Amino acid sequence: MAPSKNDTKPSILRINLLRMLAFTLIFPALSASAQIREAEDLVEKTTAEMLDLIEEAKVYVDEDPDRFYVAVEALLNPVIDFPRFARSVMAAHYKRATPEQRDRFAEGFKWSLVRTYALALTEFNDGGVNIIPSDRPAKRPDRASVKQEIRSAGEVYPVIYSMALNKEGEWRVMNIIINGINMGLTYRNQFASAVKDPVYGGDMDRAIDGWVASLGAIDTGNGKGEDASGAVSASSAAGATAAGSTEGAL
Amino acid sequence: MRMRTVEISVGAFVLAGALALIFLAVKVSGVNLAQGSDSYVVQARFDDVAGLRLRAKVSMAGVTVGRVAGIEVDMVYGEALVSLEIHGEPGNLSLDTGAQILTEGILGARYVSLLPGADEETLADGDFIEETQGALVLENLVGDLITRLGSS
Repeated sequence: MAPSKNDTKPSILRINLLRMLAFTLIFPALSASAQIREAEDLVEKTTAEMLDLIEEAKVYVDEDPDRFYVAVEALLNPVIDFPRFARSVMAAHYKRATPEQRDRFAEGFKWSLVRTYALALTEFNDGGVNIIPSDRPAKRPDRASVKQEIRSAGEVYPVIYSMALNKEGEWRVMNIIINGINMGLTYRNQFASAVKDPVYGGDMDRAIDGWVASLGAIDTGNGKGEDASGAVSASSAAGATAAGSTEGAL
Repeated sequence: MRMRTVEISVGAFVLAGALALIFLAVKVSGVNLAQGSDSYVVQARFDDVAGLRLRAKVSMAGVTVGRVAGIEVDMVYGEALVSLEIHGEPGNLSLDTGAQILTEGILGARYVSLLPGADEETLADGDFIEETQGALVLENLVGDLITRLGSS
């Protein structure tokens, strides 16, 4: 009978040990998934606000696109880490650019993105947007990939937001992967070849201006007919001048 | 006696031919027998590697800087986990380096291309490259095109 008495003692100890182990294993996992939820909530909230903004803007966007761009920028600026995004697009050229060039690139890049995507978004209708919650552990505690599906005109676009915690502990979007295309890397490639383009004669300032302008001029009409895409390119040209004036004002 | 020298020289010639074939095979398959000791490994996750092979080249600006040392599938995330062996000492690839899978020629072999980043900090041995772009699979693109044609 003595051995059985001896057996119970270690088993209690073992249970306690197991419990402690379970806690230490589960708690970081819980907090990590809670952080991913935080990132997902941020994307969801911003998307909802964006959809409201588009709904409001449908009335005035044709007469006053600048007002819409400014509103979109105000909404996205606290969520998307534009300086970091711009830096990762400039990549190797960032190191040899002057601070003025860096600022100019960041500002131009931001407004080009806002114009391009804001225009694409106004064409968005009768679709749905939903977050696909992540059911997997995070690869790194300070990173999160938020998956979203955008349905529009019978097509589904999977979008992945690469997010990172900044120094203040807030989630910020650093990069966007649309339909499997890593936009940050695509822009990095494009800018690298623009800098080498003989058209700009190796002049960084002209390369920045030229590339940012070409980014804004991307036709966002996706096969909705000649009229629609014509209107888009016309208003994006108007947007280019508008963004120039807002930059001046800032 | 004369017959003997002819036989020996023919034998030597055949042997030299066989050795040349082995040398060619080793060169073509990219096996590096003289293993350089100063190299380090960084890892990258791709959604699709589409026929990337072991020992495929890793290049930056078209210059070979390393090779693919391992390809595994990560069942948890459904992604490919690729180990890249980079020649030299750690400290020359910035932390936000990007990695893309590209194709040599139109239908050639796949390789990994590194895009330099802006970060001052550099990738250490065992670090992950966060910015990746997997291979664009031709069949997926065709499928995409067909659905697009169908909807318009």
